[in-house]
Amino acid sequence: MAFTTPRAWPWRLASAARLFALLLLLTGVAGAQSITISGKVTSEAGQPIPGANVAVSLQNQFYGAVAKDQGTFSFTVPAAVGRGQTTTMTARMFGYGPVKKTVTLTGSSMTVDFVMKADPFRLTELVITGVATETSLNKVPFSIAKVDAAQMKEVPASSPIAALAGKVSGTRIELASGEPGAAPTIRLRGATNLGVGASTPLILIDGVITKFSMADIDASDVENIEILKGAAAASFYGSDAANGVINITTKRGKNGAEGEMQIRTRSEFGSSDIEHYVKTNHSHYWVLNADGSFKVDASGARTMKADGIMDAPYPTSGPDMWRDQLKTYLQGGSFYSNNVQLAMKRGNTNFATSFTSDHDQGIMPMRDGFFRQTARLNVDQAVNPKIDMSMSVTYGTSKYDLPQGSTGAWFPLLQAPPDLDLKWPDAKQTTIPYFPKLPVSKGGALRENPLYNLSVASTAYNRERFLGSASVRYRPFEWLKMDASYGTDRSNRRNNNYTPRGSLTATAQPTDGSLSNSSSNDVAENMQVNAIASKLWFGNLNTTTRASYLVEKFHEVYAYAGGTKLNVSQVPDMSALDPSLLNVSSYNRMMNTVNYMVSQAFDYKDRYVLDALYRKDGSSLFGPDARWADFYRVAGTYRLTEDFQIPHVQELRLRAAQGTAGLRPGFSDQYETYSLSNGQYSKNQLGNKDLKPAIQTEKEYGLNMQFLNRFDLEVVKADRRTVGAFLAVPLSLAASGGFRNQVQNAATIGAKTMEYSLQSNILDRPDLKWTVGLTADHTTQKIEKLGRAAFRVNADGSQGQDVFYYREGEPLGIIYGQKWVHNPQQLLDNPANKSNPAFSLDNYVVNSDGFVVLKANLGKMSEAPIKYIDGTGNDNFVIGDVNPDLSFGISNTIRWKSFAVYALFNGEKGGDIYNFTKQWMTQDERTAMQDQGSRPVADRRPSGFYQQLYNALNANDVYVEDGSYVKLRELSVSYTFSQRLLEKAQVSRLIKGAKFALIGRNLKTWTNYSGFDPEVSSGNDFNFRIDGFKYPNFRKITGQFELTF
Amino acid sequence: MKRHTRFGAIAAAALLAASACTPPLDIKNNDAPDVLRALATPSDVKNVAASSLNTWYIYATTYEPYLMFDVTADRATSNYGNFGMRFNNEEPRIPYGNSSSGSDRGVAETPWNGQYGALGAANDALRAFKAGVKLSSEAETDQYKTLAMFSQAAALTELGLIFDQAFVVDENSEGIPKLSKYQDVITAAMTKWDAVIAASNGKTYEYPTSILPLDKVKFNGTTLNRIANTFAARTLAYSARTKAETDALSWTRILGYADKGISGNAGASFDISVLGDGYVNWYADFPAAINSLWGVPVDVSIINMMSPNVPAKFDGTKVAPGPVHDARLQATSAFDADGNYITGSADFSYEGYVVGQVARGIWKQSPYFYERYHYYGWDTSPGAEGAQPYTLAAENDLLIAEALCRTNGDLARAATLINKTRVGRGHLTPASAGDGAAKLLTYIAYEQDIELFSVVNGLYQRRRLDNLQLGTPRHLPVPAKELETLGLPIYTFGGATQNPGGK
Repeated sequence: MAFTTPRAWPWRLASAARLFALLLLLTGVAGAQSITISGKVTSEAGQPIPGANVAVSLQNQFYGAVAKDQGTFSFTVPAAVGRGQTTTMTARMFGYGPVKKTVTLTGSSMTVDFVMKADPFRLTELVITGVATETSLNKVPFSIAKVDAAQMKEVPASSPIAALAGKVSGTRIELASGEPGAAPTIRLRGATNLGVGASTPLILIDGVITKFSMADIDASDVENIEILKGAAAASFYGSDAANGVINITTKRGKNGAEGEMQIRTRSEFGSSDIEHYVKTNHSHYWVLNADGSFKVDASGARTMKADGIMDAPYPTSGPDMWRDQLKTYLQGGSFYSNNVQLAMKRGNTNFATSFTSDHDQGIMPMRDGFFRQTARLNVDQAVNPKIDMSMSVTYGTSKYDLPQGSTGAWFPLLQAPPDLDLKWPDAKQTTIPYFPKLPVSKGGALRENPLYNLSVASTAYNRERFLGSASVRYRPFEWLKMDASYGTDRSNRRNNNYTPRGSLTATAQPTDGSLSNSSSNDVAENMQVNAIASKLWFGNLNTTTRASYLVEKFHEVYAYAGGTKLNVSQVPDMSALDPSLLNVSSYNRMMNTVNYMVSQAFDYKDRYVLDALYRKDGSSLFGPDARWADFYRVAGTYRLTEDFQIPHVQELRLRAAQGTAGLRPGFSDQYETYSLSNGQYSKNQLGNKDLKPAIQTEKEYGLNMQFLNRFDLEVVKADRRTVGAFLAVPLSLAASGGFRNQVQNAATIGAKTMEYSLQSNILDRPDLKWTVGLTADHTTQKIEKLGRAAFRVNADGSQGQDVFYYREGEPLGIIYGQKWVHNPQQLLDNPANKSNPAFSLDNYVVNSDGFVVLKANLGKMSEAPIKYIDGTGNDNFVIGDVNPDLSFGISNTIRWKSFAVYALFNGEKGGDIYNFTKQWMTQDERTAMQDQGSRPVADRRPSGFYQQLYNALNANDVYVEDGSYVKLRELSVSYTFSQRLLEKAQVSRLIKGAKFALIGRNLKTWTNYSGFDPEVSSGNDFNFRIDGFKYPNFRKITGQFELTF
Repeated sequence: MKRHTRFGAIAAAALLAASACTPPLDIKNNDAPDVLRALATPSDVKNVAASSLNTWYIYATTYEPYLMFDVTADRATSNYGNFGMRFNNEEPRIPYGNSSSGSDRGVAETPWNGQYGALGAANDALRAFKAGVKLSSEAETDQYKTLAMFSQAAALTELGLIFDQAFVVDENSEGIPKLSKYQDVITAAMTKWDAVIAASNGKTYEYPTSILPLDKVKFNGTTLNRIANTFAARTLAYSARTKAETDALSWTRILGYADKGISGNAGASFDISVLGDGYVNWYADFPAAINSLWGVPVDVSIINMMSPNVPAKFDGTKVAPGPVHDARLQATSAFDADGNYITGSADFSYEGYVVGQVARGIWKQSPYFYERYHYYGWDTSPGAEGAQPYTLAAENDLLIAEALCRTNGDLARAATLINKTRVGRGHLTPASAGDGAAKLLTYIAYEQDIELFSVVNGLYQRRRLDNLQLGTPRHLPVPAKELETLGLPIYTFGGATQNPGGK
């Protein structure tokens, strides 16, 4: 495939990176006088461990190498530095515990061998997030989860966040919209606020505090991800961390063999389709002729059957035949992803670079879907024994051709009449495909052709993303480290929407077209200075003190211009717009934050760890009278098995932590505002000078146990309270002078979470390995204080009805609405019935659908269900709860010789979904519920009965469905070509490794939910599990080929 | 020592660099001004005054509550749940669902929020003028002060016409006001109209077209004065909730205003017709909906008035008009055999199709639509473009005629005014003084329904004549959200038992 000019830049970037790396290499040449240290790294079984990292620290500088294929390593240290020194050499390898050896450097060469002990649960692995300095997992006094590249590589995810799904307990990740290029929704433990879509944790990538979509980031670049789930751990990150912290570290060149260029390519191709279609109505209520055709009057109109029951079949052929419009038009979209990674380590320099190009067409007809290219370069350079520096750069572009988050295309497609060919719906309109106005007899007065707009209108959504960081570390003394870093996250987004002049309205009226352009240019920056002092006292007390200073800046600039009348045809340019019908808007927002932190950790005898920190944040987002906020943490852990031997238990650790972290208000929340629109003023919100961060206090208790040499169990109880959560509190307009609301620290939200995680190494034989990981969690959440009258919440703008209701003292995530009467006795509760002397239960009957109806109306179009009204006259009740009883994930990896099977299941038990899509479809009589054709004749209900269930889109219990599901989210079956096979094929000199895999994503879902997919939420928030014409998740089946050079 | 010095130098440099990077924490909101900035300069005060008029207009012509008002008054009909049209179209009538969480909450909340927004801005501007803000000249100060007073009067009018009670606030209000009954709100509005009329009397200033882009006439001191007089007349006339209240009104006072209004004795008649800009600044949602061939058809009882062969209650049978008595109803089908729409030349047309589900109540359907200003409707592009009357000179004529009939005035003049549209547009038999006041009043009511079909007065016109179904709410309660904020009990209107004097 020839790359066009715009696509050639990644290669130019890679070439530049190589040149840069070469220059750096030249500066890192070792001195002439040296001591060569070599040896071999093997497992307890005597197997070589290629890739193990062996290093020695001399005068505060590290020297080392990576073991080659046979486990051998070799490196040199300058004689002037090392000769005669007694020091510690360390060997490290993923999946093994570190091994330390004390050596005295003599002569010009020496041999040191290492035998490493397997550590399948990576307890000795180091973590860096939320702690003063690199710390072993088994000494961290709060919950920190770590997911490595090895756990993500079998099924490459669309983004680093998507890669976490099902792998970490207490972490809910859903693709609320299957839209290609959409970032998943994520929440760690419970809700922290009552805002919509504000559960996203703080995400760092190589030290950059990110602000924009994770869909721009290639998951293939990720080395590991560390997750802090709540304030007890995340207090380290202060006022922006109450939703938790995700710290992503990308791949660097440090793990490669000295001087060897590692090249890895991965290509994946496949296609997408819907696994589970929404069932629709196959019957109708029109009068038929004897030959099965529709009976029509002189004007072509059909006549409704006298009984109004939808049980008549459509013709089996001809223009009026029944069609499955969904299966006809939801396309099998194509998918590809190509990735190249290069890495090298030489002397004092290492670098890693990668380039990825992928395309996900999705399933929407007439759309090409999402295209993305990303490139990354990471470079590390030691300048001298005390100073080293790092740099990371990511650049990515993407484009997409559907309005993001739009429900516009799905709404009419799900409701399209089945008895016409959407391509040529009107026999008299043979020149305009997908003619918008449908024939009157087939719903022409009700809906437009869902495909017309897709065929004439266009959208171009382009994103450009740059992430860059640079850091320098300075170690003036053995006990002191200082570092300074700068990170920036920049996002440019352009959105263009065009409807040509002359395109038609739903009633086939010609329009003047429309055109709009918007652009966002956002820049986030963070600068940090740290000083870390570590010292060992009395031989057994290690103390670490850290002081930090951090500055964050965030600048958002947005501009929009559009018009609803093009004066010139076929010129999609702003200058063609009629100047009298223009719409313009913009914003320019600056947000600054300054933070100070000190932390102190004590580690006594490697078994008692105590950690405390204090942080002070000042933010321009807080009200002028509340500029500064304080955060703290106290945490401790006790490694019980270091003091007591417990049979079959290798490690038992107890821990407890309490900490605070915050949430910052939105940019405009503190300000008194007059809204401006096209130059017109209108009063909006009253300012709040006392607005401060919402503060979450979390208490966390954990138990970690490794037992029987093959199981690693973690149980965590987290109890959190977020006080001062933001709410727009409505004001009396007359009293406020016209201001509608004020954002206040009004609410308190409580959440309790239990998390369970069990990793097991069931089989570990040379030819057969089987590991299983189980995660599960349960969260309850409650609005402890609301600070205003109860209110309905609209999860998002279009097609997201406000079926949710916030009320003090009630759980968060409950669905409120009307209930239908199913037992005649319930009618007696209604005060109106009680006071009505004519009321008699004899007038009511239960119909075949189980609803109580008036006996006199049974079987008539007027047959109607009855709303339940309680003794107080109330007709609004809790009808559902979106919170699942249990969320779980099960991962399985089985390796047999060269074959490997990896499967990830995840799911939820309990938790309701409000099927708003189905409610809308009821209006247009498209739901399977309304299809009476397959029911026994005696049970068939007239269509009027179902129209009452539609209930003008007001929430009612008919549309609350159990959202339990189990999903086979990821499946990979792979074959790794052995060295022998490569040699046989005479490619072993060129190719070091090859792997072929068949991959399935969202392969199969087991559920009783009637919509496309139970994995639905709205407003980027798990509190709003409402199905509202969103782009459904789809299945993807691909083949992947991976080569290592 | 040297080592420590070097470290100290680096540490000091780092600290210096860090402090140099410290950004400011006091940041101005450049996107939306606060009150101080919105009123910082005289020209800002001028803009706030002008914006208050725009806010009033947007909310005085939007969907809520006016579509529900038209439907519940049986002028239009609809079975869609939008804008409170479905549940306030039930038969028998049910109470309006006044709940901060109900689906129809916008019916009361939208005008309440909108008009208090307009009133708040107008009061801010007047407060600034009171504090001594001066524009380029005294005349200009006076001009924009009058404009803010106009918004103030117009917003109070909407509150007094729509709600049973509201807060009366102006530039002199302090503290938290108390709710006033609608009669007191109307009295306050009338005081403000009198002030506007007095302030604009004899003034020759002219407003830029962006302030209120009127069709055919300029918005200046004279037209403002005449518009204010018409508004004063209709405010008083439509404030009556029942026939008894209508009879008790001071029709002499109404006549006095109307005669100085947009028709009458003050000069050439003109419509208060605002040029729509396609949903940018000047657009009116209510007439856009009413003039569409889609979701809000005409109640067949209106058609029955012009073509008695069409039953006054829709039962599912689509009856084409004929014979037609009134030229404003298109006599032939506007819908050809292929189902394609033919643009009609009359105001009302038979389209031959109905929309929505029959099961929601067959009376909520109708095959008749209004298309007098179809170019402005939902189903045009971009929509809300072109001249759209807020009201017509005919409304002022009809108020004069009604006042003449109710004050033993000149019935011949009344008949002439009625005939302007009755004969001029409807081609009906002319009214005459000989018909007598009572008969002329029925002609006036007919013209109110037919000629002023897309004017936002459906409920006002019918409630004051007791021409509503039993149980129809005659005004709205204070929105539940506001009552909750104030800690007051929630109440509502409507339902079979609540309609004193209903038909």
